[in-house]
Amino acid sequence: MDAKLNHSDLSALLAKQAEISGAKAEAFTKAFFDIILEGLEQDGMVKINGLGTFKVTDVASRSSVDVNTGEKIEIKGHKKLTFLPADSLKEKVNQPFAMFEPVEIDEGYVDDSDEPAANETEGAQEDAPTVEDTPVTTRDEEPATVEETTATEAAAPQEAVEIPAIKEEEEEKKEEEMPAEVPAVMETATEEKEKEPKEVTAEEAPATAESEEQAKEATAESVAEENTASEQPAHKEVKNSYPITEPAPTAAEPAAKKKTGIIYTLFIIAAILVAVVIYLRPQLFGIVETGKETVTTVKTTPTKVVEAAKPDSVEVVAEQPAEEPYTFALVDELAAKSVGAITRGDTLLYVADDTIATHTVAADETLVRISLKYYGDKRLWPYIVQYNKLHNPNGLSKGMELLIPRLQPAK
Amino acid sequence: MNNKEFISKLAKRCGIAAAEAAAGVDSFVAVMTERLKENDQLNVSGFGVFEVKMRKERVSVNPKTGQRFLVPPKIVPSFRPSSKLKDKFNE
Repeated sequence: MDAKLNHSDLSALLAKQAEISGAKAEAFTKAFFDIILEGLEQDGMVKINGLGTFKVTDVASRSSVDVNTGEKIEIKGHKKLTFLPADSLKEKVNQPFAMFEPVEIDEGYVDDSDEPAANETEGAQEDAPTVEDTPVTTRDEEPATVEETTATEAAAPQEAVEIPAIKEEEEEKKEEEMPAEVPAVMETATEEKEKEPKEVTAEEAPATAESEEQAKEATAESVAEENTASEQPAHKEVKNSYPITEPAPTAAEPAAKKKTGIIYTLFIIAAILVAVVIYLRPQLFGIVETGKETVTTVKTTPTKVVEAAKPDSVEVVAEQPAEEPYTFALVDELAAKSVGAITRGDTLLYVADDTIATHTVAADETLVRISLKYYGDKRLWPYIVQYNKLHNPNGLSKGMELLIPRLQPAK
Repeated sequence: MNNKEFISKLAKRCGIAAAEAAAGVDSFVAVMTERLKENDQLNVSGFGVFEVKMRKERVSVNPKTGQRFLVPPKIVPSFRPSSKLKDKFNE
């Protein structure tokens, strides 16, 4: 092993191998190399089977440059002894690497990262049906639209509240605070909220019923109904937007749920108070109604229903929930027209500001799964792609290390 | 000088039969091969050095077809003539 053997060592080995005396072996090896030399001098080449061919070759003269002075010099032609090993010797020596064979490298391989990326987006669309563009463009468009929608949503409840505000200052304060909070919370909460608006309407119906029993005048009732009606579309608009909005981290859910619950009950109490106030001062109703008509278009349908049902107060209450699906559909349509065309998968823009973890990709993992694991949402995978500067989102391989960014909602 | 001439000359020099000389050459080549396989360096004074060298893998291109091949690493036997031998041919 990596030893240096000289002539005598070789002779000793030969003596062992051929079972001859050491002196004889020594003489033999000496003769062996001497005859090679003689043969080279005579013919210029010696061939020994199993070892190879020794050959004297001519080297032509060539010009070169002196490395020290930079002058051009000519290297004169000379003779050179070369050794060409025999195939059997080459084969035996190369035994450790014998299993390797030349492999053709695929020429057609081109790293085309654009097309696979588009495919990946299509796959993600199953989860997020509204994603239509590539992640980057969606993100650019969205923040603006989200702000717009929230702005309109916020405006609706606030305007509705401003009318009773003329009568009671305290109420105004309460209510103005609430609607402002509602859309904000809505966006951060998850599906669970979908149930809540239903509960609210269920509660509202008895509430209005109570107020109607107290108030026998039809005008006052209609206003009360209108109040609730105008509030409901506002809720629904918000509601419609949030299945598409980004769910917040799961830890925030219970807290958000509780908060909205409180807000809703406060809202209902406020609505009842408004109804009572309007009953007590019916002369203000006229202004109220005209003012409200301009607020939202959605409101018109509930108002008609209420007006039709005016004589019988009980019917109004009964019809109110029945009307629900229709208004839902209407708001859906409106939302689709106004917002749907631009609202995409993740309507919240996040900013990756820090690395929270390093993830080693397992055998059958996808970006969607990793996103689900760290953010609880499948649709946030583009942020991982962006953060890691992956050129090919399909090129995820086992053992790859991904940095998981912390996502903060952008301001 | 081919193998046959070499063996006959060797037999003459050592005073042995040609068959014997052939067997001797075979066993000597076998010894050398065995040593080279073990990465040993065979230093024959006045003649040169037999050793093995590692060749790294490389990419070769067929100039006709443009096909690219990854040539695997390999170990090759090599011979370095002694300076004495070098000078001998350039006298």
